[in-house]
Amino acid sequence: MKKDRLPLSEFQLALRRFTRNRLAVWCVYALLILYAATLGAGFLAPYSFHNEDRNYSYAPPTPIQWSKNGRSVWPQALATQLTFNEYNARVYTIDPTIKYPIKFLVKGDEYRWLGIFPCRYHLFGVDYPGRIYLLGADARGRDLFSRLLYGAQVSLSIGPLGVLISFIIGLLVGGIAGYYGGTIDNVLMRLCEMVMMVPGFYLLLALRAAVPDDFNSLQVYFAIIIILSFIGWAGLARIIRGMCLSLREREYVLAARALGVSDIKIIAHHVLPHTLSYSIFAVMLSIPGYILGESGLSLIGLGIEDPYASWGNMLSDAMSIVRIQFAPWILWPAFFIFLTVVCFNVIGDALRDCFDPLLKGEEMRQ
Amino acid sequence: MLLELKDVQKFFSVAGGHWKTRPSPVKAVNGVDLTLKAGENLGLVGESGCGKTTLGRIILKLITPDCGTIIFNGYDITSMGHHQFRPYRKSMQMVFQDPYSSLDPRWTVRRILEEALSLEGARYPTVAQRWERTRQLLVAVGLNESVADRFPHEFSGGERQRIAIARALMLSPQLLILDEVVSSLDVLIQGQILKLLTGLQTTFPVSYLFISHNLRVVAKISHRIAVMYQGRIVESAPTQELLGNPLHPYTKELLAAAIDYRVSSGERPITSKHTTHLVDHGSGHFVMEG
Repeated sequence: MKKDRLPLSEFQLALRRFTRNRLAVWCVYALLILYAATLGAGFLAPYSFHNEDRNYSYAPPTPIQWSKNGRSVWPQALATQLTFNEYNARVYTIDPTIKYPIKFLVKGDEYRWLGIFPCRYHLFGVDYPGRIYLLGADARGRDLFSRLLYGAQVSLSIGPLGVLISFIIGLLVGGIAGYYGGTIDNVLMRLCEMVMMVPGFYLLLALRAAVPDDFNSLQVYFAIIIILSFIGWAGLARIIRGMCLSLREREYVLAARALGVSDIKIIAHHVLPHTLSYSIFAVMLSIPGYILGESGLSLIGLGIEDPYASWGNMLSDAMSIVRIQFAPWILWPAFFIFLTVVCFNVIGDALRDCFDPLLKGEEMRQ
Repeated sequence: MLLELKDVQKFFSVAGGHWKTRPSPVKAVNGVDLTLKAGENLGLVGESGCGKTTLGRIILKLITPDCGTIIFNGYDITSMGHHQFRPYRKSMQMVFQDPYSSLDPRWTVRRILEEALSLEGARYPTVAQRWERTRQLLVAVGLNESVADRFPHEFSGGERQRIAIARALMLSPQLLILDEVVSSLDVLIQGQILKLLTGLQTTFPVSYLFISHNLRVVAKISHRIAVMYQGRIVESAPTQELLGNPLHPYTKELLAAAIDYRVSSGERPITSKHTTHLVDHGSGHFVMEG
């Protein structure tokens, strides 16, 4: 160890403490994989989100043959045949005579990679007329796996975007209320309380009702983000305000005021940066709320609408117990919502743990 | 006259109780008259909670007084708006008591010092000019220019206080309010900082208003000393006069505590009624009587 090495910065110390939490690190990896998958959704998915085939309604995951007579062979997707039983329920039977070898880099539905570059190649797929359903199909015979990937683009992006907006509002409102105090503080905090007073989901519904019907899917997407962040900013603003109340009494704030630095600059440079370590984990812990909010709206049909996919509206298929019994794979979106929410919560908790001792240390120094 | 305070008052209301049982407000500063000539160092002594820090902050307009006037360089700054006050603000600065909380822990020394220059964009337009000024001040307060890119927590209390002094001097103020600047330092460092402050007056034309509870420290740097007790000035006189011939019982008690000065017993109680007033005892020695 070199003797003259620089003292570890606050961030490095926090990072070191964070990596000691194994579970949180695994959660970071899981989220990274999920987000990477949303970027390459068009390529990873064998079909587009609206490619349907009614003959495969609620088709189970396609059976794949890996070996023949004890020898491993190139994986082949077996064809299934749809018949109806005496209660007129669908029964899919495997037809071992028809096989479709799985191919890589196949041409299929056109999509735009990153929303810009048109492209037809998919990572894997089978030749027409065969179809491959890794995780089964939904009511209209659309591939659940593909729709999960496309749905992730909506469900996973709404959280961070919504948080970003409410974070900016919350920081500004909390910073101004805490720094000035008095009447401004009173007015802003009563405003916050009015937002917080109404139960979140009802407010969500009321605001959604105020959005015009003729919005296209992209407009609805942004409307949902704005609605969700409108609900979310109040809690953050209150906490930031509390921190600013104590921060503004610090002598470096007084010193800046004595120099004649403008209030806005003092808030932005001397007050808000000190709330940052708290804000980071507050943000992490509030992202699940946005994901769940979107899912809730979409689930009851007020969010992203068919044929566009989001984890929430995919779950609306699973609202009947009979369907779940018949096709349990339609619960996959629920699993991914659960996974994402847990990951964000674990990471948020870990961040709090690794920033807390530092915060205490800072208090002691001053 | 550089600074003149006339009957400055500041009461803080106390929370709690309803309108009948609410405690009466704290009279932090209760009618203070004070004058400070250019080139003169005025010491303001008093026990904790007597309102000296509040008074310092009132002069800088960090706290608005309830009534009274503050005249700086012949201009009444009491009721000036934020914009009008700006040019005067540069001429008075403050160094705070706690060197650990008066420097933003996330900022480098260079950024802390140059924050002041950003307000004087016209005078220091280029990076090189700003750095030149910063370097000049760092050297003036006895620090190496290489400390500029380090953070406050890497310094000792004395060094931090030097940085704070450098920051206050960045805009060449005429009046520097030193609020308990050496109280949190050990005796040796106290001596060094006091020596530095006296030395700085040869290069910078600045007057000090030195606020402290420690009469011994104040006596080293001040030409004149004002004694504050319960929000009022009870005695003010040139340093030697005050030390040699204290007239107000509270001053005597302070002296007894700080320097070995014998108090003849039986001179208590100390009065602080509002009917009292300062009486001239000749040669600039004012004592509260009544």
